[in-house]
Amino acid sequence: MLSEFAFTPAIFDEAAHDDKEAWGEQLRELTSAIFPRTSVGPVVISDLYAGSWSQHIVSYIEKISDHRARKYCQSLLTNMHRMLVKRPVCGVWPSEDDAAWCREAIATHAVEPIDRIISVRKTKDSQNENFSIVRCIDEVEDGGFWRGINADASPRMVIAEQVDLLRKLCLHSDWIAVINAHGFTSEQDFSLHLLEVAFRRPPGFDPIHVELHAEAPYVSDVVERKVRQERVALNMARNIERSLKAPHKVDLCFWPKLLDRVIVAGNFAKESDGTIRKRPRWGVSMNHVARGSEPNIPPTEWKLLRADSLNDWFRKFVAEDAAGKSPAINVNPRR
Amino acid sequence: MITSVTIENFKGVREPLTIDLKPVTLLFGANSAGKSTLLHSMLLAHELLANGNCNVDKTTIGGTLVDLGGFKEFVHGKDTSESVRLSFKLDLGDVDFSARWPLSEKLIDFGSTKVDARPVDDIFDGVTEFVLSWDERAGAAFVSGCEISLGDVIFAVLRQTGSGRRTGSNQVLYLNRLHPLWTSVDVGGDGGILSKLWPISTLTPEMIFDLCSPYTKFDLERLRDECVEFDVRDDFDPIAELESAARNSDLLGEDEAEYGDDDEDEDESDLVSDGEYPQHRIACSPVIDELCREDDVSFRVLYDPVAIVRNKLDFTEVLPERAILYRTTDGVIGCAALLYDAVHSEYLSVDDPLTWAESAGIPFMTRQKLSSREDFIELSVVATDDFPCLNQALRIEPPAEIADGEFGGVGKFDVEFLGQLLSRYILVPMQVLREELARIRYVGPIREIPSRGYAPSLSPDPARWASGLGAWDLLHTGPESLVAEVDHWLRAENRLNSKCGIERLYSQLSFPSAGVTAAPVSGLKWSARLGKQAGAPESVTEFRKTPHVFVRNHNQVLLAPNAVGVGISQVVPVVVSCIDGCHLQRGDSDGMSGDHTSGGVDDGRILIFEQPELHLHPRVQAALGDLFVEHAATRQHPRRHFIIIETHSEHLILRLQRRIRETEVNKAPADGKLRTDDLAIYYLKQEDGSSRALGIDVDVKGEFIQPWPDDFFEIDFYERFKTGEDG
Repeated sequence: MLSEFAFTPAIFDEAAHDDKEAWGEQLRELTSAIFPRTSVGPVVISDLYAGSWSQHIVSYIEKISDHRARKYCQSLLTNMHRMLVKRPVCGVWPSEDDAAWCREAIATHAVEPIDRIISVRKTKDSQNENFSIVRCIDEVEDGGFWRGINADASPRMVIAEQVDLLRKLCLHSDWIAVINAHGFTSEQDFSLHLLEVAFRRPPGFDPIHVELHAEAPYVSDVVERKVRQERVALNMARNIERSLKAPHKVDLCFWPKLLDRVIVAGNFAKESDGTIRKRPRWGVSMNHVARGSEPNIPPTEWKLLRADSLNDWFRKFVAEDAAGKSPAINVNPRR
Repeated sequence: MITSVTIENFKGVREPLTIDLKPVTLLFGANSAGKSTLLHSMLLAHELLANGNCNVDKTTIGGTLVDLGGFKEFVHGKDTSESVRLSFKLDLGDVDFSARWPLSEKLIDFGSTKVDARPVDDIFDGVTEFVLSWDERAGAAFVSGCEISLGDVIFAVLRQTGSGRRTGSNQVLYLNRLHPLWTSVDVGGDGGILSKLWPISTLTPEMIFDLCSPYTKFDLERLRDECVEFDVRDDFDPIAELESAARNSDLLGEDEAEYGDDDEDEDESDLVSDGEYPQHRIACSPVIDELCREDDVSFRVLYDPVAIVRNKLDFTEVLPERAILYRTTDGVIGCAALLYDAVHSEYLSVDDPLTWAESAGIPFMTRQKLSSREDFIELSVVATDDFPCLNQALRIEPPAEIADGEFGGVGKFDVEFLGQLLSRYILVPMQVLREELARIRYVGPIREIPSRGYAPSLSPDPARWASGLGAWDLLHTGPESLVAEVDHWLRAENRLNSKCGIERLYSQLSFPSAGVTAAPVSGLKWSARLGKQAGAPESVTEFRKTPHVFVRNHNQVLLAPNAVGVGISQVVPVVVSCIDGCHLQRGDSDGMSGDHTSGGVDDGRILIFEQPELHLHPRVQAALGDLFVEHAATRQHPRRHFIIIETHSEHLILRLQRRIRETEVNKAPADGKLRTDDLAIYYLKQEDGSSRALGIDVDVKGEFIQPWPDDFFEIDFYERFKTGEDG
């Protein structure tokens, strides 16, 4: 699923690399893995210090004298831009001190794990520093560096393990839509555990708005159908209220028919007239979700969605103008 | 103004494909994705409306560059059993229906009453849709259907069963009797004229309610209990009163007896007597009576809020329980409702349930397909020509069920009046569409370079713009200020910075005047301005002054257009198209001033450019973005152009993104402000045998909101970083 990488600025500092040839190869290897062409990129990039890192990097790249390396880094930064996820400030402004950036990354990692903190050898081997968890850019060519970094996952049918896989996605999203036909009924526990994970946000991370989409109970009689749906919604709302606290929000949405289990998530974007729009960034297709803890059942298959699929799911279910979208039922926090 | 285009079954487009037009609209996509198809559909529609041509190959606007091949070629899949649909949404807010289609009298005698035929003033938009079909018997294409929607609701549908010149009627008009125009009732201050369109003054309340309740019929009792309408004081708070009523009474399963018998209610005695209701009057609920006892009571049925929610097709977790329609003393009409939320078991006060219903996605008399005949009145149209004929009133035959000229028991049915009235609301939108389409200027993907012997055309010819020559014509014949502005845009560092400029000079042939015998020809003299040259003999008669347009290159050498790089000749038509029609005044420091519009106001068009970036350096491609921003109908200059651009240029879109970003932080150039709602981006792709358009929005930071499909803007990244099997 999603993995988070943090880079110190020295990655882009020409002076920090004695072997320019090797540096180029390492960058190439890095980008090849982070931005696969034929599959989904599994990596998000920490924009440390509340998003200042990405701006700070620009000055390093502009100073690169080797035109090929400069071009590499410009393109890399351009494409990294769409993978950035903000990390709140932890320490003092690191400025040009690469070790300070390492410390900043480690500090935020202690709050919420970062999968890889990557720097250069000079920084990692700094005296009087404990950068044991920091990896070097020259390690990207080792196969072991990439172990566990994968867009696909095969989680066991254990709720806790499954929702843990979605932790990163929940943390870095402003909104999540969980589309699951049985999300309010037989797979309600998964939904509720996911909500708890989503609500657990350290300081500096924005609140989250969760949409739970499920299939409406089917009964041929119209009146009875309405009654049943109200009952299901009421039951779900009561269960959610236990863990829901302002300013987080939860909406329940019913659909006549749902077949898949998909999560779509993203951030908010603003338009010139002040309208806030949802921007989809990630999606997960889940063959099955756990209904409890059943480790002996064969694992299921989950995949990160490609951009086209993500777009389709977003437009069909989540977009403000999604056709057939019935009014959401707001769940209010318990007073 | 055309605000949206939808096409179906046209060329590669099988499923309906819709594009909303903004001041700047970009169309991206792979080759043969359908980008040009959308643009060509507008040219087809122009041919249809302007020339009555349904079987279109060459178009007036597209010239030789666009060849649709006729109906058999442009219908999707070349399947002549299918119909092509072209639909245009129009902004009708500025359209004066009355001025465009005046009726002889504002108050029309309609049998026993008068009908107020003054046009409604709240038609803000509409949709005009044409259906083109093939008549196998006649071997010709024809307009088999035309649908007019006013607001979001179908107003009328005109159907034609075959092609060919006909006498008599083969056209049928279906009027949507449920359209709000028919069912909105406006009680005049004097109580005399009630209906905007129909003589409802003589209709009984039952008939009123019938018209106002499109999906369920309401009996009078029900409406009487649930919907009250009256004049109130300015400080009347309907929500507070509704909530108070909710607190004080059990609204579910309410017993009418709680309010007492109608006959015993003195306050109602003036309103209701013996179960018969005076015209236009509805009984008050006693709760509301408390408030309006001192007020005059009048009644206005605007719409039935209960019908709003009942129209909801999905889940009705909220139900209306009480509603009030009210009018304040200064004439503001309002409606408040108290709704019961079954999920949360609480009451929800809604001020203006119509807006609430819309925001909640509950359709109120939404656009209907012609599936339910009972909602439509069928009228035969006497047609002597193929539809559409936009300048003649529709001639209607009265419906068969009307006996002796009576209609609904309401006086004599005036066929001619009805035809005129319907023509106003059916044909005027089509006229507006025709005018808008006639204003299209299309610049094709490959612009011609003026030849060495080029002579400008003096007569306007839209087809010459398709090849780009129209721009050179205008540079030769247009105002000096236009030439100066084009030159500025080409040369200025903060513009295209192409290192080339445009200059117009004049050649003058001098001949001796009549009666003087002298050697002919003093040769060509160049002058920068028309007019007699200093030192010329008085006897010289100026025979001919011919403008010539040159390109001045970076070495200040004047060159013919075909002697400079191709890029200049490709971009000049784009620049000229944008500048033409825009009133520009620059400060003295720029040295540019002047008005090359007529009347000193902007006179925008719909500009269509295919591949404006051809042969241009990437930096110039980016600068094209500024050209479009400055001349588009943004908030700064709302009467400038709507520009549709089919492009592959990433540089162009990057500049637009940058200007949006800069506008947000007030760092955009004065004429370079661009908001997110000024820009529409569509990515077209082929999917399941049909073209599909995906809208890509941009936020205030200039970043795309939706992910870009098919790694469209990552090609160079992958080309740079990938090797071998990586892709």
